[in-house]
Amino acid sequence: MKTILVTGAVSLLLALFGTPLVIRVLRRQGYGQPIRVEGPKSHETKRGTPTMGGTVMVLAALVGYVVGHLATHDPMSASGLLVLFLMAGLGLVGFIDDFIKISRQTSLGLRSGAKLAGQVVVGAVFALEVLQHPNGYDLTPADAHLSFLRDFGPAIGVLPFVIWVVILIAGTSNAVNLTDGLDGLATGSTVLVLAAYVLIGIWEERNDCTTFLSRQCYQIRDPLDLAVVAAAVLGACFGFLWWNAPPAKIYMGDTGSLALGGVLAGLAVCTKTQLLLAILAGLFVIITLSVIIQVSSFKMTRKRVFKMTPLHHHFELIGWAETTIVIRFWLICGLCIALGLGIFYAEWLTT
Amino acid sequence: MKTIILAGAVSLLVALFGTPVLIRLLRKYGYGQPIRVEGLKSAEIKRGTPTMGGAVMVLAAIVGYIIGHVTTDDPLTASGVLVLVAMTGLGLVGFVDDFLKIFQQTSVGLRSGAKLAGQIIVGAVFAFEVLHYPNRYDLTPADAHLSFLRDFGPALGVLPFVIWIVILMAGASNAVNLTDGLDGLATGSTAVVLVAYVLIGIWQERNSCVPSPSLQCYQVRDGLDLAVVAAAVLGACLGFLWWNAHPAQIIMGDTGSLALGGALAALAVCTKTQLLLGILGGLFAIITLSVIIQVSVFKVTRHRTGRGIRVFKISPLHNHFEMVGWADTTIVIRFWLISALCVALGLGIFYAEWVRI
Repeated sequence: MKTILVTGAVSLLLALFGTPLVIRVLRRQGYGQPIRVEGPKSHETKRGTPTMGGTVMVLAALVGYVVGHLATHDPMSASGLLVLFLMAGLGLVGFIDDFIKISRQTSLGLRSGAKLAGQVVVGAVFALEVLQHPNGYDLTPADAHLSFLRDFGPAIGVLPFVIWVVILIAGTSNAVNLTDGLDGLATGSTVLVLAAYVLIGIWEERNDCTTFLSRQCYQIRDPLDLAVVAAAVLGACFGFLWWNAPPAKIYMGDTGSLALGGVLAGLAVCTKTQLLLAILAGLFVIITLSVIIQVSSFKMTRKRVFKMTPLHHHFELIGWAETTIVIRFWLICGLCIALGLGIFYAEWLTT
Repeated sequence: MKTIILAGAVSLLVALFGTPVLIRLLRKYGYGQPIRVEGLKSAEIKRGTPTMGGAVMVLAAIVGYIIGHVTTDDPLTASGVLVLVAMTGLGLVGFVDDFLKIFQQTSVGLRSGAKLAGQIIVGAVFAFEVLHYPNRYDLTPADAHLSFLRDFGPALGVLPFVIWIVILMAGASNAVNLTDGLDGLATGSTAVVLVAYVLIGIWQERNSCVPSPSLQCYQVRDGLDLAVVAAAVLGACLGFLWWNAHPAQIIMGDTGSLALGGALAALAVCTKTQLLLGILGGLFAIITLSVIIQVSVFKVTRHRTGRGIRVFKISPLHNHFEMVGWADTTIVIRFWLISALCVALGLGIFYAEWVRI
């Protein structure tokens, strides 16, 4: 419990005080975000806002996690480290992408094939490793199963599991990436989902099978440490949001959005709530679906369902103010989480 | 548990779909919010934004609470009803104030003496009633005690308790009222504190002394129903925030801010966390302190030196940051973050005490 608080506080402070330093450095180098050519006109004014803020979040979360463990003499766990590896790995892929964008001053960056390859490699390493590292009770960070509120169904074998987890990771990180189109939208929504994972981790620890065997107990290797990881990233997002709130002084860039997506997917795999993530992060799913619907409808019928995708740009063109969209989308995100946590708790009650 | 979800969902929907109806009505009659005369230039453009939105929140919360109970056959409780009475009573005081403001098209409204008198009457009635209605375990909604994480210290006696509760309620409702100066600021911050009270209520019920007495158990009459009330008001706030988000299409007015402050104070009294509210609602406390500091420093220095010194460019605090050059939305979101940190701290203390004992 103490580790969660120390970790969250340290990474919060680091992000809060680190971000303005990064803003100053990036400004001096003239590293601004190039805005995509076909986006809403109003976004022209955003040219020049520093990007790659995600690096601060990743570093703040890593340092917070380490300091939290050192300060409380709590040993680190395989699950926690693997989730952080996934975050850092995807953050690196995003960083390369951002860096190319900035140095060429276009909004295109890494070719989408190369970016996807990076995501697949990092995701596959995570998926393989997560099946290793048994603890004293022979529990590994994850099993080769599908999971919703717990693992369910038959074992699916290593290869299908790896493919599935890679799809989950690539999907989540791209979903956060798509959501990251308005000031503070992705950061704030991720904060809410991470708060849910802090609660889920604590709850799974309180009802852990290794300490108290019962029908309702959870078979998770390191639930409390997953809550610590969630708190570390939560603190980092929180501190970053201080500067990322509209009008944003800095953007997270692909560095941030891929890293945050990776954390969410990693937490879902290790807390064995893979499919629940789609409800908790329902906002990200809705935004991603809007793009899929738009593209496929356009290809098949030459008609556009939305004025522009992702969904938040549609509302911008309809005339909603940017801040209105951000706050309303946060509210939707909060409702999705209430629903997801409600289902999670209800299953525990009725089991 | 089911009642909490139902009450929250119903009041959310009522507020979400009720608010635009009210906006249209108020627009039609030209009832806008007159902005205070000596306020900022930027605030002048808000003349004409419909106010009294708090009326929807109060109604939505009451309807949500009742429907939640009727559909689950869960009986209403004394604590829950009293909290709603406090909220409605203060909402009514605010409504009279709002109505006079609109009617006279000045921002002065009810004279501050009359407003305070209204708050005192509602607060005193609540404080008296809360000491009655014992259940069969002889628990009343509150005891004549001070409370932080539970009751502590000696019994206060009825009169000192009533005076203290009146001060608490007047303080909380005026604090929310002061905070309600930027689009969405008070609504969002209150929502965050209400989330904390939903959790506190559930926790007190799970660790109630009544089924299983233990060292850590809580002597609270209706923990779960207080969570239901908090969820009902929370749902109403979220539904209202949809329309109150920057740029606001409607403002809660004194109707809303007094009602919400009353709900928070009443929840604090019945969950026996009176002083914890100072931490959970830390943002409101900071903003109120900024006004107190500003006024008292100005008065003292003027008395001593003949020239008053201002600590802030203007108070309440959010207007100071506006003058410093922060964007409206930046202030609102940063203040929400501070509010969330206060809530995290408050809940951390609440939980730590339970673990320790």
